[in-house]
Amino acid sequence: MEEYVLSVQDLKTKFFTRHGVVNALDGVNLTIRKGEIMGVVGETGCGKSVLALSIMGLVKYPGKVVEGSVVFRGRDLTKLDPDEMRKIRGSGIAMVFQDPLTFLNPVFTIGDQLSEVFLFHAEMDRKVVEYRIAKAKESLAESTNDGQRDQLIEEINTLERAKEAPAKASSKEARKAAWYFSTEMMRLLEISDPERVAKFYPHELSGGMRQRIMIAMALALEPDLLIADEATTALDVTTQAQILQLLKELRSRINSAILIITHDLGIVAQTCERVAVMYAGKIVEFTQTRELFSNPKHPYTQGLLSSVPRMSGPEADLEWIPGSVPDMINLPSGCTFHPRCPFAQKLCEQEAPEMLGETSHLVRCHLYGKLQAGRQAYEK
Amino acid sequence: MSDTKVSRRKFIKYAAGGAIIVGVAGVGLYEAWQNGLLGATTKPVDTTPFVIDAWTSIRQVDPPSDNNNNAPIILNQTYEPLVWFDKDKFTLIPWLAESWKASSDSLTYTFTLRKGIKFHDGTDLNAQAVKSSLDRTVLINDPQSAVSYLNNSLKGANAYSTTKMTDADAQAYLSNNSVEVVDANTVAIHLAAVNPVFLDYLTVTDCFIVSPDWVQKNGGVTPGKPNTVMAQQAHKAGTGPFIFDSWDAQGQTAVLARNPNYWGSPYNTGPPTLGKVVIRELPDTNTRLLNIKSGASDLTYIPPDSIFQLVDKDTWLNQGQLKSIASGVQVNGTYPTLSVRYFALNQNVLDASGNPKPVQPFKNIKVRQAMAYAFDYAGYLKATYNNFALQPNGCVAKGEFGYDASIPAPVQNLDMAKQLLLSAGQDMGFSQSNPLNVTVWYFVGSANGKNATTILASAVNALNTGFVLTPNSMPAGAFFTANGNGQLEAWVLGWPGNFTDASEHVGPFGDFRRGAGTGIAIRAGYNNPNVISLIDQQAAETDSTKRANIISQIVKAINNDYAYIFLDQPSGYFTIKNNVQGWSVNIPTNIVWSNFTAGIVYLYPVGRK
Amino acid sequence: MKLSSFILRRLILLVFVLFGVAVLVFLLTRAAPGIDPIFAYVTPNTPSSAYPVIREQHHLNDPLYVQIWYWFWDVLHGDLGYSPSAGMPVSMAAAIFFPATAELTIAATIISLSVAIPLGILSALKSNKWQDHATRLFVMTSSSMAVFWLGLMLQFVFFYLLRVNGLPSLPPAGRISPDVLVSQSITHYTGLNVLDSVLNGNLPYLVDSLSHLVLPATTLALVSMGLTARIMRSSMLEVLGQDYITMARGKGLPERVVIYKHAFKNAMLPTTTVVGLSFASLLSGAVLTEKIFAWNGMGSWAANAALANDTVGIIGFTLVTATIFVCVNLVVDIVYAILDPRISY
Ligand SMILES: Nc1ncnc2c1ncn2[C@@H]1O[C@H](COP(=O)(O)OP(=O)(O)OP(=O)(O)O)[C@@H](O)[C@H]1O
Ligand SMILES: [Mg+2]
Repeated sequence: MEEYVLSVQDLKTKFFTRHGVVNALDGVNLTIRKGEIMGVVGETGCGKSVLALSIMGLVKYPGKVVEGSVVFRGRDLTKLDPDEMRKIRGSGIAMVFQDPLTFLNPVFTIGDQLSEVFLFHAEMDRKVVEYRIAKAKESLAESTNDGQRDQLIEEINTLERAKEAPAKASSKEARKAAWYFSTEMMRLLEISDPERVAKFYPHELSGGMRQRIMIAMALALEPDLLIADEATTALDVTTQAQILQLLKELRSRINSAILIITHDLGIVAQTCERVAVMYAGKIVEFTQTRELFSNPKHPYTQGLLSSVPRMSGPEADLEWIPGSVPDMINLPSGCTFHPRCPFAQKLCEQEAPEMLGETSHLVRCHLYGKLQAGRQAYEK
Repeated sequence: MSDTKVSRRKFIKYAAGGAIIVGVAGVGLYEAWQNGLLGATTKPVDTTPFVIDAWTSIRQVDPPSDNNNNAPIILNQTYEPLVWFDKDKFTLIPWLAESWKASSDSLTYTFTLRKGIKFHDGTDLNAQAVKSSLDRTVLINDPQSAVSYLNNSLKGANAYSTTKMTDADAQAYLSNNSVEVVDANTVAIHLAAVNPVFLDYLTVTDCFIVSPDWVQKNGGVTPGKPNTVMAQQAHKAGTGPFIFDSWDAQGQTAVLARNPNYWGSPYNTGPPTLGKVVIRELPDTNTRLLNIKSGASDLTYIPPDSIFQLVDKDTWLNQGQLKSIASGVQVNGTYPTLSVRYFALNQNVLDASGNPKPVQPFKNIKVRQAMAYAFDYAGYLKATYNNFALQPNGCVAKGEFGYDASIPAPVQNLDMAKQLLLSAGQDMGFSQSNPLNVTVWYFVGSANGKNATTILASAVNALNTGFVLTPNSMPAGAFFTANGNGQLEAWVLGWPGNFTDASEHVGPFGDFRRGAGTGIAIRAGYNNPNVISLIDQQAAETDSTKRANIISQIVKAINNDYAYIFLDQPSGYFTIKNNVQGWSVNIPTNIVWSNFTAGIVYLYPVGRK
Repeated sequence: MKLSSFILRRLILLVFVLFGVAVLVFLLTRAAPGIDPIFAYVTPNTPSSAYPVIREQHHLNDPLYVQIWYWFWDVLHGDLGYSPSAGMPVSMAAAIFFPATAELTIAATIISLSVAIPLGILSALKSNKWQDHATRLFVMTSSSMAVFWLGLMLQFVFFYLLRVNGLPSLPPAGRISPDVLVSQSITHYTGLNVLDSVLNGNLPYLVDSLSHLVLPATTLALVSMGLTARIMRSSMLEVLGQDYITMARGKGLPERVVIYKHAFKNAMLPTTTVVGLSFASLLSGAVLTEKIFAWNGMGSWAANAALANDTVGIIGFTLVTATIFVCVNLVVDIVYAILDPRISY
């Protein structure tokens, strides 16, 4: 258990709508290791975002997590009271959303929205001391007067000692410190002139810039897990690559695990170590990225992979998976993929398959269990 | 000895008798003292403000510019004229003047002023002050005030009012010296023509005497322009029992302070006992009702539609008695006001281009007579006024000089009405199968008009003679314009007299011949040469007995022509706290035009029990 | 664009608006069927013989464009004319009646906002729970109650019933009590009694003015509060569904910060517009409320002018009202731009 930062067991989330109950998550099992980058892929509507929100405890009315557990730092998040959950959000698990424009509040400045993360989580008293140290160090770097330098060094030393038992800071200084760390965070995200940008409103920034801001917010408190839900989908290819690169770098610096949610298999191939394939509220395949690409087992995964346009070679026809995502209110019986599956049998209609195979490559398909014989015959 | 000896029994008897006598005398003295009979001058000043909730909007407070005739409630307490009305009797007595004398040709009136009276600003009341005051009113010539009375009598004033009122025009008027300073205490006023009502004219607020010194320091006199400083600020420029202390134009509230140096009025009753009087505008009846009932005000007016919250309805409607049902409050009245409302039947209806219309429904006297017989007078008074009104016997109001009580008032007689209409139908060619539709008009918001037209129409239409009335209304502006242009077939309006003289109520019927403007006669196409000549006669008659006789003839002549149905003369009353005494109504001076009110309260010498 | 140049531009626009409004109202008062403009200058007291002179004096015999010209000439010389129904010049009437209405409107708006905004938020947060239903019921009944009835009931309960039972009561009408008027005197700088008594440092006057404001302001507030609360509720609900609210929660902000900082400021945007508009229309006077509470403001001036065919007063009133509307709109736009950085002047 130790090695996992997050472990999701049998998670079921339902939306109780006027038209019926939407089974958005239908028993999801997922484990994320410390510091790993994991991908979740699947067609639109399969429940990826709901998964992220369920982990964060942000599922909105009429939705509800009805079953299962999300274990983080040894505690089941689904059982936490709202205030404790709130403390984990942002500092323990942070999230980057898809559309940086609609997810940033239009009427507050960037700096304001970034500072908040510090103000409402961190031990601000301690942060204020750190801020003073940083400021003193800045002055030290600029100072040429020896006497003054000695004084500054002395001050820094006192402050370093005070860090252990910081005095109560005034809210004004706390805000200043938060602002300072916000700009530092922006610098980390390679935003130039952060002091100026901090005073901007979201609509005054480019899409890539906004996404960096969102990531800065998410990483500000060095969370153990970062969930990036379609974090780069809205960006152009170059910016996308930059952002992904940045995420990778930061991961190694602050040692966060990252859960990348996407329907772009390219991104998964570039960045993720392991990947879970989702279909209609269930994980249908879960393995190493390389393994998945070289040896996709689930017919759905196979279909997904073949629908990725290849850069090389003659213009191959895209092989789409026929049909579309099932109605989440009236899920098909048995294996939910069976209406679209080229290999579907009677059994697939009648009985839902379990996760099968070794832990290093799990797949939810009868072809690897009860129908193994048939599959092998087919493969030959 | 035995005679002189008073037996024990007798002694007791006498002693007891003496004690009773002494006791009764003591109580009597005490009561007399309490009632202020003893030492009226030592009576302490009552420092609790006396609060009047005024029922109309007081928009400005300069005597010569009393635009909507609402200011007298303030001005009557603070200013005084040369002659005024005897308390509750409404006859004229000398006031600031000690006496007056008319010249033999009745064209000059000479007034001797009382000596030693001072204005609130400390200056003397003298002949020059009287002249300045009256000339100021003429020069300002605010067409919205009652200045026209003065203009019609003072020499040269009427001519001035038709000029552009430049400084030169003003000089031209002043050169007439129509108000002449004879000596410091004597003023002579020269009239343009004989005018038996001239003295009454002097009682309107326009003729109140104002300190010229104060005016000079507060806006001065500009010919043809109201003085906005005087109009919107309090002025200590009168001679009355109260000093106009402050005027809050925003809150429309006036504060009057006792005039400790008041000369005492013709009754010589010394300065007032009320220390302060607050007059505040409260147009909402319900608020005034709550105030008087809860003791937050001392005096107010509650219109007839709400008065039964204060007096018992049955006792009033059945026995004509005002029995108070609210504790601490009494309703004081009733007395006639000088307003008369009428239903005019137009004998010469004009079309839009001013030509007579082909069909004239009321040209035939039988139709007009029928209307007078059809109208339900008692029903109308009850529906409109809860009986707080009288049925007039003609155009002259009860209480005015010239009112003749012997003239009978019309009574409803539906049979007569029907016969007359059937006969008129034969003359004019209308019948049940070929009806004549006639519209009768009132202006929007006029309860009287609405009631009178509906009551007449329902009575007439029920006769089924083919003469059909339809009540209809117009907004006031459109109504008055159409009416002024002679376009309304029949309509309901009324007008108050400003003095206790019939001239205000007979004069308009002579308007026709003069042809100018839009008098009641010309609007109704009513033209009786006999009436016109009688009106002219009374206007020049200085012998009061003869004049009263002529007025009576005018009223009868108009009644015989059935040109108008005279509907009502409202009765006045006031609502006061039980402990208020010494209060009277100064009713004849100015009555609000648009709204019926009960007259003007005169607060001197009011006190609290 | 700079704020100052924005305001300047709008004020220049105001001149044109006023010009247009003036011409329009002038023509309307002249074109209204059957209304002789002479009624502005006479009463039934005026003898008919004076009519020709009065017509001549006020140029009523001249063609319309000449009349307008005379009128403009006077206006350019700072003379808006004499409003007979008010008994004073238009400029003076505006200076007297507007502060009264402004005081009442400001008080009513403060009351209305301080109730409607929390109610709106509450019913959004508890949408479709009993708190929401209760709020809706309150808002619907209060805003559908007839003003005069509401006013009378408030007077009856808070003045009459309290007073006759010997309890401290609120004044039923007017702006100041007789005893305060008699005993205290203050200098009127602004015409707003509350402000003036503060400026004069006169506590009894302040307390008395405030107590006079309570009932009329509450009456007005109760009527206008419903709309504000409902707008607040619906915009709050909409804002709460926005992504940035999810984000704010995702950042782990406490719920109070999410609601009262992130959601509130955004939800205030549409509310500001509505409040601004209702503020402006209240500033042009509330006839019924003013009558019931004997509050001499713009409403009673307008009503009197209209009843008396006082065309000069009507035109003056309309100009003042137009100015108010333009100015309030300007303020709303500025507030809006302050609230919403996406808007530029
Ligand atoms: N508020 C809601 N009410 C009802 N159903 C919802 C709600 N939110 C999500 N769902 C349903 O839950 C299912 C999963 O939605 P989700 O947003 O997780 O899809 P997704 O995999 O993120 O798709 P995409 O790739 O388009 O983002 C969908 O069928 C959706 O209709
Ligand atoms: Mg999604």
